[in-house]
Amino acid sequence: MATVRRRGGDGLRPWAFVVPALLWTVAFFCAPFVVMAAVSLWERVGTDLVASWSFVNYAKFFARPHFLEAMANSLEVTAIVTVLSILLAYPLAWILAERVPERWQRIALICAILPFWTSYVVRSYAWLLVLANNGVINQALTGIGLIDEPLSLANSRTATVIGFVHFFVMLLTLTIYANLKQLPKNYARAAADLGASRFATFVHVILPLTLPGIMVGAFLTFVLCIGDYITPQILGGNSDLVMPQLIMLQIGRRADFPTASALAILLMVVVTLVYIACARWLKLERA
Amino acid sequence: MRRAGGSGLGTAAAVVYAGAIYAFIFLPVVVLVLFSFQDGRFPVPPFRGFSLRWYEALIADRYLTAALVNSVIVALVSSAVAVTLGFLAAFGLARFRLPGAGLQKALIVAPLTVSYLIIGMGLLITFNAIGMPKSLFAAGIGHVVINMPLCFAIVFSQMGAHQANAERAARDLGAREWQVLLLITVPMMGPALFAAFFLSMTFSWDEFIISFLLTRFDVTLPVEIWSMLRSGLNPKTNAAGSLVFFISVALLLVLELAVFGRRRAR
Amino acid sequence: MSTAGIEIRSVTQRFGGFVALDGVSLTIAPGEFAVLLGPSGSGKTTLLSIIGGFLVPQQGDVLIGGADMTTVPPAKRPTTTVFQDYALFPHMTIRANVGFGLRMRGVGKAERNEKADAMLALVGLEGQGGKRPHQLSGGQRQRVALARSLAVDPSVLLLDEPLGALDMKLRRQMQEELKRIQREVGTTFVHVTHDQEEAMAIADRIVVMSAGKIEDDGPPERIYLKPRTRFAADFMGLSSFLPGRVVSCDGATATVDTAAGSLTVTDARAWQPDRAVILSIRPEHFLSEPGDDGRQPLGQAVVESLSFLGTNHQATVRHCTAADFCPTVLLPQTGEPRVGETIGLWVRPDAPVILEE
Repeated sequence: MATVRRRGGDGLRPWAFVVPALLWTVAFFCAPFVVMAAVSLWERVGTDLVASWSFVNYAKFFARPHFLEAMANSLEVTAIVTVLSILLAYPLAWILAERVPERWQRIALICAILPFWTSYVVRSYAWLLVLANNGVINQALTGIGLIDEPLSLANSRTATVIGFVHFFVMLLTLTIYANLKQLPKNYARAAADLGASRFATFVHVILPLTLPGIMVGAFLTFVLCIGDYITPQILGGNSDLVMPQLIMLQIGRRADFPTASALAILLMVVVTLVYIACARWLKLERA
Repeated sequence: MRRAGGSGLGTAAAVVYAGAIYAFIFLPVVVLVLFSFQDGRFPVPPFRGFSLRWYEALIADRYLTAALVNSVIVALVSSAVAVTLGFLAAFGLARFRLPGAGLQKALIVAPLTVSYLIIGMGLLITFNAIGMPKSLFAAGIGHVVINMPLCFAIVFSQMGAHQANAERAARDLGAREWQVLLLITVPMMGPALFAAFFLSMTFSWDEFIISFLLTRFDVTLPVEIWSMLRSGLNPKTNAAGSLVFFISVALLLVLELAVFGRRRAR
Repeated sequence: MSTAGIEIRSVTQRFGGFVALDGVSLTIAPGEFAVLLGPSGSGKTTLLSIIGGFLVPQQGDVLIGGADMTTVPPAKRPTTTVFQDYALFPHMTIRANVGFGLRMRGVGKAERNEKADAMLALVGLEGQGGKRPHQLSGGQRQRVALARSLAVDPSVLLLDEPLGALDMKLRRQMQEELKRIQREVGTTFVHVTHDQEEAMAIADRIVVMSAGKIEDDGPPERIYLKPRTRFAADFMGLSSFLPGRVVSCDGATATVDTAAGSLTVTDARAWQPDRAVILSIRPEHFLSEPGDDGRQPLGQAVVESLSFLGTNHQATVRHCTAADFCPTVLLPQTGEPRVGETIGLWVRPDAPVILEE
């Protein structure tokens, strides 16, 4: 039975439901974005902002090596984190879905993502406790006599990657587990019935079927990772800056909103390009 | 589940692997919580004995307790607004044929794809331009921007034909539109609305960068903890972090018992 | 309890290029149990939606109790609907479900609980008011939906394939219940189904629909025994069709020439000689031996397939001279027929129905 009445129609009433959300999005998401785009074409001269309407801030990005380096660092860290997180999370998700008895799965999963519920800022700080010169790892290694001098683990790209991987392994375990669980059991049974080994079943049946889900998780990881300021700032320190650090530097130290806006927009362009690539890949995969 | 062909070696490997990853996942949290009870000035080994003095220091810290209250208020209010707006939009788009519905949906969920830093910066520049001062209110607006799309998506995905039929039956029995919404749709969508609200709360509670950019004197808890980090490694920071963790886990338990426990009972 | 008649005046409804209703006119008397019967896509559910007010027709009018209701919304009509999936409110008790319509009409709690309990008693669910929908079986939910719709004293109750989700045995039981309840409350019932057995079991009046048009309209016996169109004959049970030409007619009978022989049929219509027609004959109207009740021979046929139905053997046979004529016939329970056997066919004059080509 059709729900929609015709002749005269519903009038303007349905709009009353949608308009508040639309207005909010336009006022506090679209408009700020337009303002930011406009400001990115301005210039900071001395302590004043001048509406010069030029692409000088964008030109600056390509002219200054440390700006380009920050983008390269961001992409590199994000790529490493994404790949590493998937490689670590997939086996765990598979073990949870296939090898853990059904009634323990839920509790095992909740445990696997429990540290998720520490504050994001605190999580990075906690890794500092582990990785610092006098932290848990260094004291343990010197304690058993493996090393004499503490390793400088904190304030490095390695620390940033560890902090990120820790977060995204939890996130991806959750998404991949959900993906594996929604696969009908009979796919694996059918493959086994037709003589496939467990390994062959995994490679030829399970993996291809979960690949789209993994891609979604990977994209999520990519977006969250490349836009994050906290983890690289706390764990990475002030060397090898990534884009969000560079952007915050423009805002914080120099109140240079035009440059910060231009950098933010460039970062968005990169994310959008990756999104388009992912979307196209997913579409091809489904077709 | 027991399977034919599951070798002992494979099981051992699985146990070792899962154990290693669990250790990796829990290592920082265990260290954090353990050294929050450190009876000494440094949250690093050796553990010098059990003490609650850092928690006492925490409670005595007026900035921190104020930030905690601020965080709770911002989380509650912004989540309530986000759920309300998201729910209304989901209802409108699910139940009526509106021109450009696809575009409207895309617009509403668009903030999900943009990093918090960029959303916060856009708001900062815009509020600067119109002369609006930094405040918790401004941060709350930002939190609604990031959480409303999520609430919309959750509620929209749960608006099935099942509810639509019940709504139609209610109209047939004489209910007005607001009665349908309040007496049928909201109660039937209860679990989805609760989940959306809860998720929104956690995200707002944990959100740092937007609050950092948009608040000045009254700050939220993550921003206050951030400023504590300047003092380097400090058991008090451990205690603050552990407290946040305990509160979050307690909320999680409430959710688990309230929503999933009830669902299982049915 | 109240009741009202319905008048549909040349209603047309299109969905895109698809014509769901094509100038349908129909009158249903107050207190009648009418069944809209047809296959999916025949327009029966669209017609019900238009009576219920969920759809405003593009052309035509709907009158209920003599008042124009064409554009009146469902809530303001003297109709209520029992939905196919029942649409019970899962978060309310059974009593609150049944009392919902009264609550919307501002009836106080005590009064509406009393009425709800009375309605539950009517549908055979005494003492179940405190339960929730998910605690009831499918058949019980069906009864709750019925009670909920009847609680507001509608003049017309609309039922949208309400028994579709029930198993066969429960369905037969609910059909009798529906009929009893309808007699008790006296409300006009308009019931949509695609199940012809269900229609025959419950209806005072069957409206057979196909492709957005009414094919036939009348009491079940008349539609079964004397269908007006080939579609109605075919949809209401099994029938075999034999083409022929009218040779003569005398105002009481008509004689038709067919490939299987010439038949005289009781028919008062004035047929033009040489008019091409179709004879529709029900399986139970084929007789396999001669008799003195005026039955006429229709040649011989070979049994091609057989199935035992309990009360009869149902056989598909091929006529020996008219090879295109493969009627379905019922043979006696005890006859022990065999495939390949040749049997004779006889038909009484009042059995076949002459249908226009």
